[in-house]
Amino acid sequence: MRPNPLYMPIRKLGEHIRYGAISPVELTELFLKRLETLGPELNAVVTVTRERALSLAKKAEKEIKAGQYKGPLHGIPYGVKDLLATKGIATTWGAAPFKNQIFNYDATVIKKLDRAGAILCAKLAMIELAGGMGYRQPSASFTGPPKNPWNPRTWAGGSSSGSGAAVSAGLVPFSIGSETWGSILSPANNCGVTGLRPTYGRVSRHGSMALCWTLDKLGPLCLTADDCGLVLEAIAGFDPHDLTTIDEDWKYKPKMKKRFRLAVPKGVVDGAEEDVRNCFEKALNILRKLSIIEEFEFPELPYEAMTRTILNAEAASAFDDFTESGEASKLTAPEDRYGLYARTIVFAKDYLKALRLRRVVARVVDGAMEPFDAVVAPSSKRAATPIDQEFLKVAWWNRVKDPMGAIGNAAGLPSISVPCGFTNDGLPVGIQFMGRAYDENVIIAIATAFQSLTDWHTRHPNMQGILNSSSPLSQD
Amino acid sequence: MSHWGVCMSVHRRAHARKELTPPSKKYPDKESEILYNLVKESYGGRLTAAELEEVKKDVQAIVETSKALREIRLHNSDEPFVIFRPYRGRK
Repeated sequence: MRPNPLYMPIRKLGEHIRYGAISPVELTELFLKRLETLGPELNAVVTVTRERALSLAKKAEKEIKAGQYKGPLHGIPYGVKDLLATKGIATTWGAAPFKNQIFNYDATVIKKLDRAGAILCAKLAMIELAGGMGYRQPSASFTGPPKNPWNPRTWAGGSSSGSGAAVSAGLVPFSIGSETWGSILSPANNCGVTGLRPTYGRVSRHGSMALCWTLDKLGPLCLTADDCGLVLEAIAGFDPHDLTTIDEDWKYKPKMKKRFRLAVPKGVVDGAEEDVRNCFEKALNILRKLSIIEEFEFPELPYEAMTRTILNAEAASAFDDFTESGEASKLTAPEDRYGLYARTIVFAKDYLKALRLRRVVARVVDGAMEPFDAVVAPSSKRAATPIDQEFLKVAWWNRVKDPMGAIGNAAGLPSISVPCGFTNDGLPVGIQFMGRAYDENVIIAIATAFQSLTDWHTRHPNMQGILNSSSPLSQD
Repeated sequence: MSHWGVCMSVHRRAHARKELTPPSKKYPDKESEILYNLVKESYGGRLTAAELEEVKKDVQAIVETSKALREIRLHNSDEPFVIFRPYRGRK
């Protein structure tokens, strides 16, 4: 019997490809069809890279048959958030003013995945300009509001919306997203997939749209934590084109332990939805089987003011020409058309104060986390919100209380979000494990151990309701 | 030292920093208004009255954020967490 590749983790899929049970060309055709049929239904895809994908798939098939197997990603289809440059293919940054933008080179991450033998199949939808203009609603994307495969009347999360939805809907086995503040963990939470935000500098951003130079990170969204490790190994490493990259290769060697030591920040579920609190408590009970859990308190410092000031100042500079050009008026979400103007008044001394405080925070937080393998928290205080409603009445960068996000992103700490249950309405809920800097192998080990005791990550949305009856899709 | 010990020492350190904080600088009470007027002067021609009202709220939020940062006292030796290295080409 032929194995069904849909929703098969990369490690298993790779073995089937290696030993000839699954053809990379047939696999690519399957996912291209799903991208072309389901993708538009979910507003998850900007461009399907059919020609490039089939060319790479044929090459992979030939290499593998010739005994030139490159590793677990060889012959595996994937998609990228449409802020990564692709030679000769539009890179829209999710925004109407950039819909015809074409670069003449591939982003480093794409080059690395090419070298690993993976097959780029799609540029995936995203919130315009990675949400950096202060968006407050799901419709802030020129390709339409990204829908959640679990319930298309709810949002896929953002800003790596298509990257989360595509993995959740089985349009690709894995995807690449980016996070400045929450943009990988949010779609992972909403779409019920596993998302890894690596340590700042672990992955080159060369060829990626810059929103905030000292906050931007690229990372994988997959079906399992183990898959995230496999993808991270392929994309990590020093890049002379991005001097913030860490000057060492990263090997995926999950640090399994008989017993992990986990910290739960005091008050971390305050303000969370009841269903989220319940799922989190149940997840903690499972985690107690493999870890010691202690309450913990981050030192009192203005984390959100610090991270917000860095974000505001760097985004204002990164998009200075765009601001001055008046092109913002062509953005989709009304609030994005004026969101940058206020940021032009951040004082240089306040930005530098934030950068000075950041050094203190990095040291103090690392010291506080030193006894622990990870800090555990809900990935978000709520499940997916309605697709047609503002998720905040005011700009998130002004009002959201998110110390985990503020600390983790400003200090450049890795975090992984995995599914940990569902709300009564059937929407996924996530739990995150945030580690000390450079500890991806520790948090992946914890997440893998958690997934070995749960089956939330093996549940997938029923796409038949979304799919048009005329679709030629086959899941065989 | 237990993790609580670490946490406590960190708290004391953070607290000590706060205790050292001098009275806030006297920024004009109208800081938001002055800065909003600067934005309005620069970009107001592109924006509707409703959009300008939203910009005013954003400016107020940024000023509040800046004030929270200014409350923290740092040492003169606390440098920005940015490393600059002089560049020299190969030739």
